[in-house]
Amino acid sequence: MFWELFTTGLGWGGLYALVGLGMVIMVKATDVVNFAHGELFMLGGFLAYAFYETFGLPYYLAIACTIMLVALIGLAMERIGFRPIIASGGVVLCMATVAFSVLLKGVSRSIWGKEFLTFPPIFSAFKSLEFFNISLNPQYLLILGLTLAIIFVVVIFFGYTKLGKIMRATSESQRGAALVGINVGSVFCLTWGLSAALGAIAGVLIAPITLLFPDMGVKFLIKGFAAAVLGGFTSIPGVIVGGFLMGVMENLAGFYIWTALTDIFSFLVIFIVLLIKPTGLLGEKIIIKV
Amino acid sequence: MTFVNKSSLSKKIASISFFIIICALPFVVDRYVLYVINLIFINIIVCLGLNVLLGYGGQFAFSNAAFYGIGAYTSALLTTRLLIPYWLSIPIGAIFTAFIGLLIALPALRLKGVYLAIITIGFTHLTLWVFLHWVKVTHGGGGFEVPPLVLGVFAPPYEKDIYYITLAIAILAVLFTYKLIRSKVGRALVAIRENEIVAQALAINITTYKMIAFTYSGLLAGISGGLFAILLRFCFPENFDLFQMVMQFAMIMVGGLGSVMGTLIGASIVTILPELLRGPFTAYMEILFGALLLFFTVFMPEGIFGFIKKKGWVKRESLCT
Repeated sequence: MFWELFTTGLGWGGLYALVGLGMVIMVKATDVVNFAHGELFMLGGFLAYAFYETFGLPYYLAIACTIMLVALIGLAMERIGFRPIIASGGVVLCMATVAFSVLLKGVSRSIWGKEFLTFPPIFSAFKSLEFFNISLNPQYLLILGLTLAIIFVVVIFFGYTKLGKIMRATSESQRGAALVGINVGSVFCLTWGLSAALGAIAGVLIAPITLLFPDMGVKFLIKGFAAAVLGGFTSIPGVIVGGFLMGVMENLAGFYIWTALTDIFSFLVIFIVLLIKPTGLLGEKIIIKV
Repeated sequence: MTFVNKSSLSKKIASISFFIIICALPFVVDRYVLYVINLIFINIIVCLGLNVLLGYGGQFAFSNAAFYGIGAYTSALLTTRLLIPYWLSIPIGAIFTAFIGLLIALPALRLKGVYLAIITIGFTHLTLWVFLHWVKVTHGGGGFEVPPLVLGVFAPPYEKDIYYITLAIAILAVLFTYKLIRSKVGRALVAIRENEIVAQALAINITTYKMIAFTYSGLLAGISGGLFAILLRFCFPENFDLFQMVMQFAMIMVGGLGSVMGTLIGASIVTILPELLRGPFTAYMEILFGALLLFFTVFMPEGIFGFIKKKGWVKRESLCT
C-alpha cells in the first residue's frame, strides 16, 4: 500500500511540480505571480477535450493544438494585461492576472457548462499494471515519466541554450539585459508563452485522471503555490523538489493520518513554510537593498 | 463635518438633499430595489475595510472574503444555535472577526507582496473548507436559514425594516473610516504602502499599523458579514469564496483605491451591475467581473474617483490620496 501511495504521490507530485514550474518561470523572469495559471491549466484540459471529442482530431494532434492554443492565450494575456501596465508595479499586475483568472473561468463555464467532462487516457488498453505486487494506474507512470522528461528539457533549456541564458539574464536584471542588447519584450512574450504551455501540458496530463470542471484551476493553483513555496519561489530545482515532496507527503498523510489532510495539505504547507522559512527549501535569501 | 468641499453652500445643500432622498427611498421603491440598496450599504462597509488595508496600506491580502464569511457565520450561528439576539451577536461576531484579523496580521508582518497574497489565499480557502466540512457547527455545504431581524417598525417588507439599520451602520463606517484615514494611522499606512523601509526610517512602527489595518478590515468585514446573513436570511459557504474576493477587489478598483468616496462609488456600481444583467446573462457574470476588473486595472487603475480627481473636477481629498 505504501508503495502504491508513494508512486501515485510521485505522479501527482510531478503535476504539482509542472504547475509550480510554470509559475516560478514567470516569477523569475517578470516578477509577477500569474494568478490565472490555474485557469491556463484548466483550459489545457478543456481544450484537449474540445479538440479531441468535439472536433474529432486525432489524439496527439489534439494535444499539440491544445498546447499551442493555450500558449497563444498566454501571449494574449501578456499583451493585454501585462505589457500596458508593466510600470505600475506588483499589486496592479497581480490584480490583472486575478481578473484574467475569473474571466477565463467564466468563458470556460459558458462554453462547456456545468457538466463534469471526461477525457480518455492514453493507455486505454490496460487498466492497471501489476508491478512487484503493486497495482498502478499506468497514467500515473506516464505522468511521472513525462514530467521528468519535461523538467529535464526545461533544465537543459535554461542552463545550456542561448535562449535560456537570455531568459535567465532578463530575470536577473531587466535593465542589465536591455543594456546588453536583449529584447526584453520578446523575452516576456516567450516567458508567458512557455509558462502557459507548461500549464497546458499539466492540464492535458491530468485530464484522463480527474473529471474536468471549470473550478479545477484554483485547486491546482494552490498546489502549485505550495510546491513553489516549499521549494523556494525563485528556484527551479526547488519547485521541482517541492512538487514531488508535496505529492508524496499529501498522499501518505491523507492515508495514514487523516483523510481530510489531502484537501488541506497544501494550505498547511503554505502556512508552515511561509511562517518558518519563507524562502523555502532551496530558495535564495531575499536581500532588500535600500 | 462632511466629506465634500466645505466652502460651497450649494454642495452642502446637495449632500443634505441626497441624504433625504436616501432616507425616503424605502417608501417609494419596491422590495427588490430595496434589497439591492441594502446590499450596496453592506458592500460599502466591507469594502471600506478592504480599501483601508489594500488601498491605503498597500497590503495585497485576499483575506477579506474569509473575514466576511467568519462574521456572517459567527453572528448567524450565535443567533441560530445559542439564541443570542442580534444586537448582541453581530457585535460579538464583529469583534471575533476583528480578532481573527489581528491573528492574520501576525504572519502578514513578515510577508510582503506576493507571499502575503498566497498565504491569505490559503487562509480564505481553508476558511471555506472549514465552512464546508465542519458540518456539526456550520451545517456544511447546504447552508442554513437565518432568522430575520425583526424590528417591526417598518415591517413589511423585510428589506425596509432593516434598511435604516444598514444605512446607519454604513454611515458610521464611512465617518469612522474617514476619521481613521485623516489621522496619523492613515498617514502611516500610506507611508508603509509607498516604501516600508523609508517608513521605518521615519520611526513609523510598521507592526502596529499593519495590525491596525488588518484588524480594522476584519472588524468591518465582520459587521457587514453579519448584516449580510440577516439580509439574505440564509448563510452558505459559496458566498465567501474567491469570487467574493474578486468582487470586493473589483469594487475598490472600479471606485478608486485609497479613497472613501471611491469605495462608495465602486461598491454601488459593482453591486448594481450584476443585478442589471441578471436573467439572460447570469452565466456570464464571471466574464463580466473579470472583464470589468481587467479594464479598470489596465486602463483606469486609479478607479473612477481617481480619474475624477486626476481630471481636476474635484478638489483632492488630502495629500496622501
